[in-house]
Amino acid sequence: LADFLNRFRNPLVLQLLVIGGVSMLLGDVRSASVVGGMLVISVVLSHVQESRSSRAVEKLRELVQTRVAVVRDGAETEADFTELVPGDVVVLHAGSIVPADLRLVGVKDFFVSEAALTGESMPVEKNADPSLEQGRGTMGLANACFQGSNVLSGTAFGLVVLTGVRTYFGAISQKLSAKQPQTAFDKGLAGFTWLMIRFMAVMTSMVFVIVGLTKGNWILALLFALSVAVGLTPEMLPMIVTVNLSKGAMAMSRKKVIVKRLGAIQNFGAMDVLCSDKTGTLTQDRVVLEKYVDVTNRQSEDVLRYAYMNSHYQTGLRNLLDRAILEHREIDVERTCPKVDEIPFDFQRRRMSVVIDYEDKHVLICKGAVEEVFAVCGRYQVDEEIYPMIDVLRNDLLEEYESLSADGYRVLAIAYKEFPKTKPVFSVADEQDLVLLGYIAFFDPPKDSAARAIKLLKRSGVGVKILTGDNALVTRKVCIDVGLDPGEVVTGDRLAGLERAELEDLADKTTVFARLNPSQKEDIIRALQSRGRVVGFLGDGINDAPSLKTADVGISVDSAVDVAKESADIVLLEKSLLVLEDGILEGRRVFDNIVKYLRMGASSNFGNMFSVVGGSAFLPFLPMAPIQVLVNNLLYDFSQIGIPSDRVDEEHLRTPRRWNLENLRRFMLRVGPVSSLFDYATFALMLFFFNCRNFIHPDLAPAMKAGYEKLFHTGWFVESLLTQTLIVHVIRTGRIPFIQSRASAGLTLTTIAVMAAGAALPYSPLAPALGLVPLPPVYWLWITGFLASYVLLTHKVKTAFFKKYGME
Amino acid sequence: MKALLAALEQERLIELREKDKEKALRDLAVLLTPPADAGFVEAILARERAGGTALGMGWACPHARTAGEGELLCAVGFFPDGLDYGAGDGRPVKLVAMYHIPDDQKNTYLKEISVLARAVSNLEGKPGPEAGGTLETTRRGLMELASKTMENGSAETARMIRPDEK
Repeated sequence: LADFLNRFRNPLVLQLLVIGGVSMLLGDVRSASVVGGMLVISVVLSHVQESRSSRAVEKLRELVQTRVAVVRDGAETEADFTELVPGDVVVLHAGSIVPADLRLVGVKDFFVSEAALTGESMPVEKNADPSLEQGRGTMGLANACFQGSNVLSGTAFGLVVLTGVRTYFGAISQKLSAKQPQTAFDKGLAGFTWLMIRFMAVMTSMVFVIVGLTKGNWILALLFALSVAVGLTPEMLPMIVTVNLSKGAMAMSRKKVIVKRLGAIQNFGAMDVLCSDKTGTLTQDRVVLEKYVDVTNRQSEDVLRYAYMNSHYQTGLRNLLDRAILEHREIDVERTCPKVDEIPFDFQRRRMSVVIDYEDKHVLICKGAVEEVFAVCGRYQVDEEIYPMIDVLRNDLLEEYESLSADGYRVLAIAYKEFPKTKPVFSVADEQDLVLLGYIAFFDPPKDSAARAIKLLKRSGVGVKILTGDNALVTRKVCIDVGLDPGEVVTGDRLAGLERAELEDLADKTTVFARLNPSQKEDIIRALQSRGRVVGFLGDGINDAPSLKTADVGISVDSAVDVAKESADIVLLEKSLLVLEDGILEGRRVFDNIVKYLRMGASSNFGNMFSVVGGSAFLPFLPMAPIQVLVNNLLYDFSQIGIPSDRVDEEHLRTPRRWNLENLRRFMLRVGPVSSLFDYATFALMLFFFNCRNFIHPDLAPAMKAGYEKLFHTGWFVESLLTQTLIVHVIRTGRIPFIQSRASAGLTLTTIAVMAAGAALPYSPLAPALGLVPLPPVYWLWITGFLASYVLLTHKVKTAFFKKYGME
Repeated sequence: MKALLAALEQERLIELREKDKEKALRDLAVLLTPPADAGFVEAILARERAGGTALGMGWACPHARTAGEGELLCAVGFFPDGLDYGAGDGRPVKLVAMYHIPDDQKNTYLKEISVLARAVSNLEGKPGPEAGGTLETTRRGLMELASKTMENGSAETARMIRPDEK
């Protein structure tokens, strides 16, 4: 109900209400009921349509899952994040998102990433021990888990302590709940509405005064002026826009693109630059072991075997890299060499070792960050020969690591050392004078679809920029692999201290930014926006949330963290760039159909203004009766209902579609007068060919006078309705209408129906009530000629206009 | 030490009196033609800037890699007056063994330098090959050092664990 009442606050609806009320007060029940009919169309239809759309959109949003396992009444069940209350016990597994601030009550090998909250990218081990780690405050609590962290490994039971905005993270994310600024489209639409209303106010006043002065009947003048006001009001605009957008949303959902904010659809179509994160969008977001090489960068099975033995036997946090090694090949380690000991990983050493029993020796195998492993190597191995690692060679040995890193690989070093079997226990101190064996190199491979998607986006006039927190070398390689020329990669540290204009220049000309923090991503988006670009941002991390909010279109994926999904306007159910292309085209389709309606409304209104003002001034009677103006408008509105489902020419989809109020104004000024020309021709036809000028003959009987007046009204009523309705077929396309481009079946049907109704009305039983009379058969010959000439002339004017000013 | 030995046999040993390190390296690189193109010399100098190649005991082994396949080539420069090379032990360098390393010879080169470094460190307290002071005595001294080192065997052999695949 609130939504229903809210609709009455729309200026267009308010205007109809006032006009209906005044008509009622003046006793013109017929006019009041026609206005009432229009109110029904405008309010009820749009309410029904919109609520159907929003229910559907709501259903679509539900597809975007944010659920967690929770223990209630002793049984494990699933609940939405929003349903959690303090006191609930949630179950967390690897991959879970921590849904609230929790106290851990039971854990097993539980590691989380708190990168979103602390910026620390390394995993943090959590336990259920209630002791407070000194000096690190709340975040240092080992038995507390905070909303926004994600679980990397292990399982845990957590007691919910704080939820929603009361959580540690909620306080941060509240910043994101600020109201979204109006988009260019929203502003443009509001601008257009007010332009039309101002236009209408001036027109109505003029018509009121002219009719009042020339006809001397001020009540009639008021009724006519009000009817003209209704005629000039684009009251269908809100409905057309909403139905267009929701139809677009439905079409996109079939392509697995969920639209959360309807208004974003047209921004999607207007977007001319897409800024994207790298991981998971260009890449598969998984780690694959690609290379295992000796110190001279030659493939080495020994390096793979030693890495495998290390990963196989380690019991600590088995990270993505370990999994990648173990997935690469299966080696029967335990039968050949049982485990003796392990020196676990820690973030200071950034390496870990396992010790295995092999024949008469205990062999320590170490794997870790290259610099750290190098620091404990005293020897290196090449071709099964071991040499001392002299200072002169250190640089040479590091060269291979550097070249792998430059190729975008994540590199670890593998080293080993033999000990006598008598040594049973090992510690960090034993990690020295190791033999450097080689390197293993990992890569997040690019998606198969990425290269094609980038090509498609480029073809659609959308430039792609990569904004990533990852390092420049990796990013560069991925970009090259997917066919995106990275040019000079700019890193975050170069952005510090730049003047606004410098940042804008840099943002404009750079394709790839690396090592960015979240606020730098936002800065780049703003810089692009201030250069007039419509910016989309595709991201899935918590760190991406502010950028998703800042961009004109925030795009996220279903697998993204919740705050990213919440901040996004559009959620892709598949993490593929290919669906973006579909979304962009749908956005352009929606935009084009809205613009069709605006062009129609603006140009026909402007033409009508000339006709009505002129007609009112020089005709001895009103150019059309008030009720006829209203019925004409009602029928015309009905004919426009088919626009949202109309086809869009391919050339309108090729480039980003931008809001251009200026062009709309120009279109109105050039195409509007054409319709006026044919109105005046009709006036002349009715006055001189059908002799309506005899109205002023002093000897004419009143009944005859009324007959001429009605004939004139009917003649213009029919011509005006037919031309206005038919012309949608010309204006909807830049091509030759009917031949090169045909409207959709829906629009064709509504326009044919309205034209048929308009032509039939003078002969129908309703005719007397509407003040219409049957038209002489020869009128139809004339009007057919008028329609043909009108279509031809409008097509010429439109073609010249599009050629000169473009399609926007 | 095969490349060093080949350098001596193929007369890629010269006496140089240049005092400037960069000029001296450019002069020596001429012996490694055709590989001694501008790119190679620049790579030699870049490698020196990234980290000096002095081995100590008056020895240095400047080197650079070039793309492609080929043979590991060495040229030796004898500097009777000594060359200020910025060595860690502060001693002027009298013997410069320059290496041109085709990409596929990286392993050979690593072994050569490792063995050379060990041979040089074994000279501690003894007169080096350049002790005679002339190019000829130096050539003989180097031949002797290379032969002896190769006879003594080069490196410890690794014993790898090779469990079966499942």
